[in-house]
Amino acid sequence: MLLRTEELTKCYGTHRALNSLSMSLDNGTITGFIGPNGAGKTTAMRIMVTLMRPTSGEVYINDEAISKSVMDARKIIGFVPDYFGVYAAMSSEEYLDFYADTNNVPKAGRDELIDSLLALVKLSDKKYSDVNQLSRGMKQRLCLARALLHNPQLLVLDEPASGLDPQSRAELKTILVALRNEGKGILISSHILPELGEFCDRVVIMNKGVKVAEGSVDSISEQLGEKAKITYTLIDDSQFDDAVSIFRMNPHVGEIIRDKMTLEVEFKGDDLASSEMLKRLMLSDIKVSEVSKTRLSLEQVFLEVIGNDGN
Amino acid sequence: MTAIKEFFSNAILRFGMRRRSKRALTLVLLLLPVAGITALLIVIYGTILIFNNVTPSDLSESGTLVFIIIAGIHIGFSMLTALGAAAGEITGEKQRQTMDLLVCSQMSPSKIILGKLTSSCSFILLISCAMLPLYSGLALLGGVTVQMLIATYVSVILFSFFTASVAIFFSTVTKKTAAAEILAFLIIVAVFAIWLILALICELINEFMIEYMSRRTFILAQFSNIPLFIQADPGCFLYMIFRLAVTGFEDTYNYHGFHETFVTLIMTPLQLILISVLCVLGAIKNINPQKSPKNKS
Repeated sequence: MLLRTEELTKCYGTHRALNSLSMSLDNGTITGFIGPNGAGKTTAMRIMVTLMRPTSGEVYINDEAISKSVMDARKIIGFVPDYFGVYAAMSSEEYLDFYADTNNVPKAGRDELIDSLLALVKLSDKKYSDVNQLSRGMKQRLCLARALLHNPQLLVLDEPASGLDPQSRAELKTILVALRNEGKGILISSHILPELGEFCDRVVIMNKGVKVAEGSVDSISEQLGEKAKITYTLIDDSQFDDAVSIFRMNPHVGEIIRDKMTLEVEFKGDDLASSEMLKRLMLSDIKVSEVSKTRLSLEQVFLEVIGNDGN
Repeated sequence: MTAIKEFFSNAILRFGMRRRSKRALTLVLLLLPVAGITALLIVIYGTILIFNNVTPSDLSESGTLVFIIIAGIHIGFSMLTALGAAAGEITGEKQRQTMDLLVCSQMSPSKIILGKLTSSCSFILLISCAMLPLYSGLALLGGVTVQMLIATYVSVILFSFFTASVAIFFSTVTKKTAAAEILAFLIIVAVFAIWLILALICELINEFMIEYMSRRTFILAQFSNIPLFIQADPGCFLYMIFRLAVTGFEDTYNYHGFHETFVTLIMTPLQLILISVLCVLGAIKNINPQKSPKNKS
């Protein structure tokens, strides 16, 4: 396991900002870290990247406790905070060169590395531009390139998409997906849930310092007992009644709505149960031209989990 | 050799030095000694022209006096420069929001602080090098010895390191550079003043003892030239080191005796080094998120 936290707790005086957070993240996955303001996401991330010490609990990177070897952990972690700090009068190249120095990146091959990272984040043409003159989206991508300088296995990104325009967000998403495909583990917090839902393999939902759900969006909606919607498009409208009677026999089926040639079925069962239902339709010689299953969106799941407690 | 090489390969030190050397202020500071040399030469030749009967001995005496005044300005200026530079090192990082990026990099907190400390003192090295031609110009007057030059540079290094260490400590505990500068300045003034206050208290007790008991206090009885507590004062150290450089060891020793000479020359630097080391260790602890008390519940 690339990242694992055990009973992570952080208290500020009597206020418990983080309460017994246990979660995990594997190589080659993107985990969304979501929750309303004050949910404890940033606190948890700062503890994971060794910028803060927990009151109790432990973070493990590759099954090694980070409290025992902070410097080793930092070699594996790349961190992109929710702000962008720069020194005055510095070009993108100088910026990356300085942080390469602080991360012990060897001088040999450094120029090539900087060029390749600038190309990855699509900033090759801004190599000699003053960092302060870059747009917010460009700064964010440059910050991501900085975090990748020492080729970390784990990337922790705190609200990287905040304040970005849709095009910049799409570019960021493409880069993150490419990094996941390279085998890096990515933990990303964001409040732009629809986009996060598109590329996150798993999500951890936080509220008031407590983890309220963890897993894929589908599995969380299943845990919540939420109904998926299965839409069947039939070829022959004379078979609608037969199809409805087959659906009614299934205990997982809720409301059925007919719209022209389609039947929209509320379904509470798992994938196996839905495939069983389709098999029954086939066996009854009901001709189906199209089937689609729609789960709840990340936003819907989030709102369902947080309920009325969220902001 | 490897340790020195490793020390100077410190990313923060190299970065800080590079950035400082780019500033326009550097050029101004480097030009100051040149202006000083010009002024000095005008004074020397003006004096010779106006007073034709000036003897080499008079000039030599003036040379010593002018050297001590300029050395005093050099030390004071170095201290202020070190204070200003070091006080803004960590607060500047906090204000730019680059501190977290440094802390979570592979630089240890000690490397960060030592890099910052050395880079803030690098300015002083630059000024000190630029001052050398000025001191050489003073040698034209006579009365300037190598020992005086060594005394000046030892004092510059010691006092600048002390000032920078105190300033960098306060830079780690405050959010604003101005606050760090004020606090560091107050502490430095306190270190200079505390011994004077103690000496004054002792002197008052002494007066009382003489007035009402017709004898001196035990602690003051044996020291005639410098009161006990002033011996540990950094100002007294400056007096002693320059006296040593100007009049020689034998003269100083005969006048002040073993106790005064060695207490002043050894205890004061030790005191300053101890305070500096404590401040540096404190600063290292403060920026280490794994040890910083700020993050403890």
